[in-house]
Amino acid sequence: MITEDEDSLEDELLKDILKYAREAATAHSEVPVAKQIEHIENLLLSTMRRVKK
Amino acid sequence: MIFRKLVIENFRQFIGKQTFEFSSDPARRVTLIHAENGVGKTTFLNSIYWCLYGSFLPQTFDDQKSLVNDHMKAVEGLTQCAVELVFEHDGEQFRVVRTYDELKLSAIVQGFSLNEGNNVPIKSIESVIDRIMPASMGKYFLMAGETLQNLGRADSAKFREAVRTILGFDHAESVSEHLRSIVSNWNKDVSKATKLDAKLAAALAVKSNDAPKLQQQENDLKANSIHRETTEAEIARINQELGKISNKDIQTLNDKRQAVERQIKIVLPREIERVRKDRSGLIQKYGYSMFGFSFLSEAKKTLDKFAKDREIPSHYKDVFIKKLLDDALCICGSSLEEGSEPRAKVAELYEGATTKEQEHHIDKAKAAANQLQDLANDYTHELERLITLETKLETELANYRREKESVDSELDQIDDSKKDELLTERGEAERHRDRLETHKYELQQNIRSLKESLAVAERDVNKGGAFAELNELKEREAFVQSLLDRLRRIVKEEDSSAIDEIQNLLNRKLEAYSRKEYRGKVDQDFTFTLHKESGRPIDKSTGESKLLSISFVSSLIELAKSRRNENSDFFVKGTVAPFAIDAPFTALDNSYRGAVAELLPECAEQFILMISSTDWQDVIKKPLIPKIGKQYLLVANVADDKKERRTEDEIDIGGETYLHTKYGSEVSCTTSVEIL
Repeated sequence: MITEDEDSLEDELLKDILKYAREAATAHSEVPVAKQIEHIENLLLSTMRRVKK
Repeated sequence: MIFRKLVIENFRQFIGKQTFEFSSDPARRVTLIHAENGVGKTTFLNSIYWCLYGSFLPQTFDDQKSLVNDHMKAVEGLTQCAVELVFEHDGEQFRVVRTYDELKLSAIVQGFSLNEGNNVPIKSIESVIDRIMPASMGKYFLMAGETLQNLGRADSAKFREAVRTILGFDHAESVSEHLRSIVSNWNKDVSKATKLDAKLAAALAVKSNDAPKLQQQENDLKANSIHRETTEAEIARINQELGKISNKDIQTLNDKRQAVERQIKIVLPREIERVRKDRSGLIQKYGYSMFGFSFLSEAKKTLDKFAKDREIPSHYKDVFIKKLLDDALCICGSSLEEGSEPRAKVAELYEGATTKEQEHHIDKAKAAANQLQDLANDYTHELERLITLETKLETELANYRREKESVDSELDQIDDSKKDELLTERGEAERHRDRLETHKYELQQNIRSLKESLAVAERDVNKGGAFAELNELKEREAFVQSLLDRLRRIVKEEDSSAIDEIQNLLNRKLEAYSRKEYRGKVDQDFTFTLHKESGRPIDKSTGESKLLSISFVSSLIELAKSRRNENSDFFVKGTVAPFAIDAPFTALDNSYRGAVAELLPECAEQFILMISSTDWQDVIKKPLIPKIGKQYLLVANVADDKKERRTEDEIDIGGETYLHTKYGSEVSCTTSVEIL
């Protein structure tokens, strides 16, 4: 189970994801939805791996 | 963000370069653009929006591809137009130039940082703009009349959308959707792993149920075997007793019966079983040859046909041709001198001649096909032999059974009470033995089937489950679910605080603008209603709707301003940006007009107002004039020299009379005049 301070971990991750979503949605860098999902999935997995170490 | 300068060049109805400087003095924050309907107020707003974002304000231009001024295009052959905007943000000046090429139907944007008068190119000016004021937010700061009207008729969804855009909730929503889609994908993995685990659980259940069953059945089989032996011994004893009866006929018939019984019960069944086993063994022994034979026999036929037609192998062997060439002499006696035509022809034959290796391969293939054919023939013969043998043994068995019946019938006819008693006893023992035989067969079947199912279960158990994977997947799922809940909580908190904030801002505006004692109420779903002090909802007239829209938009601008310094990492930070609005006074009565003119400039640090001569009345002028820092008139130049100058074409600004419509121009277009 994830035992680190979950609130701060979730907040940090959410901030990263929201920041990415904002950048991905700008007119000049419209990123396809599938690509966005893939990137967010990678962010989630790498955070989980980091926490488990 | 504060606008400094706008240059519109041959863009839509604007001809040549039209330059506008914006007031940036906080005390005189209003830049006023006078223009009649259709002269270019919307184009003016759109030129700023397009320069910043490369798109147009919603519900404005129908034709978004024809941007170059018609006259310049038709007469001067011009294919490009451009808009340049200079703005300041956090003490830094930026210059954005967007140029449209109508031949290519595409635009390019260039961005510069202005450093002591020097233009330093910026790689991605769009990122800079997006960080300061994203396009979604921009449409509330650059408010075309059409958008304002639309907002006036807006339902709660429109207000909600506007507030959420300003706060950046739309990104949070798209993130929520992405996270849900990730959870749904992971759910599929969880269900796969669960299925694997279910298989393992089922296999373990089979093992725990069937293993004791198998043990029981094996024990029963052992007991059955002991019973059968006992019964056989009992039958043997009875037969012995029968043999002791001093009647020759009984003895003879009994011996015969025992011999027949031995054939029926032991000898022939064993023989038949052996033959059947041999038949099953045939498939194992010859199966591959049957399969290979059908395949190779086709290949052999083809090889034979080629051989017959002398295609493979070639008629000529390579060693033979080589010898002719080495000897330079053909078998017909012709000379095969170097360079001669006959030598060339013979040399050609060498290419296709049969080599030793080819011959070897072809012989090998033929031998394999022949071998398989022999094996296939052996199989057929052996099968026929075994079938014949089995039929013969079955017939023998049937004959022995008939013979036994006949012996029994003869024994029955002999009158002897001891014999009768022993026969009854033997009959019962034999029936018991037969029942035990049947039970033995059932037990053997059960044991075989239990062993099979246990072997399958063992295999599944050895494959293992997905406990570890499943736990990992469930952990992941729980993590994303928790993220989603957290995001939902944050959005909800922000949502509630935004509702309170916007309601307070709105009520402050209404208090100031409205002569009636109205209160605005914003519900959780952003339903927006006007109430009297008593709390009774009131119906909105057109003017009040407009007032509500203006109040709402100016509240939004203030909300964005108030959030500028808020340390919200989750959502879009607020911004300070110019507020440009087109024709906000239409449909308002004089008292509302005065209030709006008084208070609207206060909601933004820079206010750009577009106004027509109809609205340029004292009630508006009075509060506005002290706040005007820059003022321009958009002039409609009309290429019609028949029309006379009329009083309606004039506008009085600051005691001076200006013409907002000029007739007899060379081309119909819009130009600008700065009012000093």
